[in-house]
Amino acid sequence: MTKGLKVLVLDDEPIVGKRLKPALSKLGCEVETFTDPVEAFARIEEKEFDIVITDILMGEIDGIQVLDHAVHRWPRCKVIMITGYAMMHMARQAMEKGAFDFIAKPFNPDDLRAIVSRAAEALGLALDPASQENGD
Amino acid sequence: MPSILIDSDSCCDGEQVAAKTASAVGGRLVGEELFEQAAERYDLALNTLRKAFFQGPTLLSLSEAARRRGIACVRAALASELLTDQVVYHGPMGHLLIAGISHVIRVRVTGRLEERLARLMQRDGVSEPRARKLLAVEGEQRSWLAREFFRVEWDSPELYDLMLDRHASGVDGVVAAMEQEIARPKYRQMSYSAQSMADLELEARATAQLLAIQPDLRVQARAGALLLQAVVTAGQARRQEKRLRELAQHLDGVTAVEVKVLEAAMGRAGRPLS
Repeated sequence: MTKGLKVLVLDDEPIVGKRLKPALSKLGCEVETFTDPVEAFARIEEKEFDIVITDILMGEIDGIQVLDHAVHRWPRCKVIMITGYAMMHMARQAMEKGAFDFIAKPFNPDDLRAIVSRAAEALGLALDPASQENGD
Repeated sequence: MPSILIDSDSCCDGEQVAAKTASAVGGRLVGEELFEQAAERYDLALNTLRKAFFQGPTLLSLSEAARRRGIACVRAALASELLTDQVVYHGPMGHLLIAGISHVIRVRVTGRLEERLARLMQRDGVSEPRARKLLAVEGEQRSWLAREFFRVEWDSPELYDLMLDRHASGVDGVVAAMEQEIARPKYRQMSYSAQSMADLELEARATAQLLAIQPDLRVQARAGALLLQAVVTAGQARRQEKRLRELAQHLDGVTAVEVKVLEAAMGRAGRPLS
């Protein structure tokens, strides 16, 4: 049975993590959520996540710095950027630095699920909704 | 794969550059046949669309409303092309018609004036003073159109992602530079840019259709929802709001329509196209 994808969600708005965690867990993902980019930064340093989903504008450390750190620390990690202030130059900057995808808020949960599925496929992994139910 | 919009000075081998680039990157070449598509789709005379872009402001030229609609129809046709495929477009004002899409690259191909003059004199059999006059008029026309309908200076560097000198680099050098640029990760299509392109296409298509009944209409689109804003003459607000809503609701891809119509005390306010 395929182990659950390890996913880190970072957004300074607590509601985002609260909504995404159950939605991604249903896909069989093991999800850790953070609202503090400094804590998330430290967690990424110590643990390899398959996917990092991060907001961009957060204060002390922004999502571009998180992206930079994640892809350099763990080159196979797929980083998905989410933002309520999407602009072309920001999107291009993220893609140039190695983001897997970039989606503007508000987004349809199905759209994010589709992106996570593609990221899993790119990693050569399969999403396994059953793994969450069985407690794997 | 990203698309490329090429805006070139005249007599710079712009068409050749576009054709070679399309071949090199595996994209589909789109040129001024776009005008024929737009004419057919929106039931306008081809000559009207060409005048919208190439005819300067004279006593006998197109009205502002007709020109605005002509530009909108060509914009909608181009947006439709960009939705479906990797495109290399060579035609007027591409960089102004389609802006803000991260996987659509806007390129300007320039040429040295003396080289362009020599080419024009040879091609059209005109004298140097005549050639200078023709190029000057062409430049003035582009400047006027960009300022009047897009509120920008048409050749501002910030409007382009890449500026290439055809005479310094040669056609093959320009093509190679574009090939190299298009390969950069920052131009890769992403969920945000795909949605932005879909929103722009819907907005462009709705604008092209609805300007026929409301010449100063402003349209915004997001994920299938349209916001229409207009100023109408006194006493017409309710009727026009209903008309706009009914037409907009029947457009493909529209899921919701909001209409905001104001009544003007005297006449209508002119609005920029974008």
